[in-house]
Amino acid sequence: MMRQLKQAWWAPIAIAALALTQMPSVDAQVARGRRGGTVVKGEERTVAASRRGVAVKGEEGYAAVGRRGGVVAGNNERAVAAGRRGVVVAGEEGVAAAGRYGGVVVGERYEDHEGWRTAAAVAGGVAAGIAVGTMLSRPPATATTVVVSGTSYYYDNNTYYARAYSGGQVVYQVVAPPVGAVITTLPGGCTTYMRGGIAYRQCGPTYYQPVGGGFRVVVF
Amino acid sequence: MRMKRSSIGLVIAAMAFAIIACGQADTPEARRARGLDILTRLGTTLTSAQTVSFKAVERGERVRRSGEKRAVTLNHVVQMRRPDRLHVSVTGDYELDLNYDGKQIMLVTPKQKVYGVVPASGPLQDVVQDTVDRFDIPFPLGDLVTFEGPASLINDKTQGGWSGDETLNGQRVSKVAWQHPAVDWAVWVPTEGQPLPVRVEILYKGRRGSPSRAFELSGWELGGAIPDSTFVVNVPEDYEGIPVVQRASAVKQEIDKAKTEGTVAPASAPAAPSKEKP
Repeated sequence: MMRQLKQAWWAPIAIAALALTQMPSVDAQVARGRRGGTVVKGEERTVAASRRGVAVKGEEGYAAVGRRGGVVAGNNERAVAAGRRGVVVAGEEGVAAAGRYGGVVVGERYEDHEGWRTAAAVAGGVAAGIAVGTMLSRPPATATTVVVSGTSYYYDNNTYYARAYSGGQVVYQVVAPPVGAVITTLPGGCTTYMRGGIAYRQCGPTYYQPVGGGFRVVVF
Repeated sequence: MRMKRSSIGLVIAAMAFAIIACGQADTPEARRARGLDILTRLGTTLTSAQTVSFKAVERGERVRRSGEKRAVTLNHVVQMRRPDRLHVSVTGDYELDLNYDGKQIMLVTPKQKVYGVVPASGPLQDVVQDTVDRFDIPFPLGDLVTFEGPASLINDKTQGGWSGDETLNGQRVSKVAWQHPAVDWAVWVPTEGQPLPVRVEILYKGRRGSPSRAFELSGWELGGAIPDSTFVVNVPEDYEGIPVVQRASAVKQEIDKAKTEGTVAPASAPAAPSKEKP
């Protein structure tokens, strides 16, 4: 009861997170994100996200461990280690753990998409899009459900959300587009990307392969 | 006549004693001592019981990022069995079943047909602390579940103590109120009978928006039989397992600890959740 706040010692924490199977360093991942993804800078935090990773530096942070994800620490300076299904990165800037989604995992929590838009507008980051790791108390009203390998995702406007527990409540966390997810309608602004004689559609950082009845998320 | 003088003398002496006693009780030291005494009796009562169960109605506030406060009403049912069994059911403005079986903490939300599992072991005190610190799962009555005495809650920054007796729902109770730089809290304990709290109020001064929570507690049962089945979660087949987000600071601590010890921390990955078939 009362111990919770007496121990508000954990407040200032910075977080760096990334996804992935192979990651050389925090800096490298952040740089990749800045080149190929989005950067949101606000007074309180900086978020950089790429197609496969995200880094967040802020006052508070969260990391997730998937229900089968592990947390393992190494002895090198930046302590990068992989669990059975996850990855943990710790550096001077913070720490993050990747769960079963293969991605991360860090982010602020908002009541809904509108709440995020309001905050992002203040930070000047709406155009960058909602970052991987961001959590909403409820999915966007227009989101549709996409099931991939038994996991339910919620898709809206080229953004995928997966459910997670945060603070004892179910939240909808932005995740990297799940490979294999099929959507029926592409978001606006997509371009064609030719590879191996196949015309893929590139929508922001996400690639889709046309399939019968829709478009499947693929990665290269 | 002599008898009469003697009686008057006794009355005067008693009045003087009462005045002195009242004066002493009004000092901060006296109030603190009396408050600590009440908490000690509360702790002794709780720790002497192998099992504890109670209900609580929570009326509190949640503060959105915008600063807007939202009223929340929740019903808690708490059952614990020493040394390592705990079941908490929360219904109301949101739903959550939390179960600790000595091996793992399982969270279940029937409304959304999801569950999450995190590894856990050890005594209830540690698990309750982990629940709050590591997984950010609000468990404002957690300290009550594992309460052993005031030492765990009162330190040199804590001020306050007994602040008077009053009637609450027709029952005489002592109010014990404490102030800490981060949190103010008060507990109401019956003046007679078992010293088990009937009301708890918490003001989180250090949190955004300084939210408050008030709990009306009832249905206290100490030492009653709580069957094993209480602590076995039956997760239906169509429920989906989802990750449990933990505080990054907790992950960092784990890694820092491993680095300090020069050891590679063992994977804290839980085994596949042991779902009992319905």
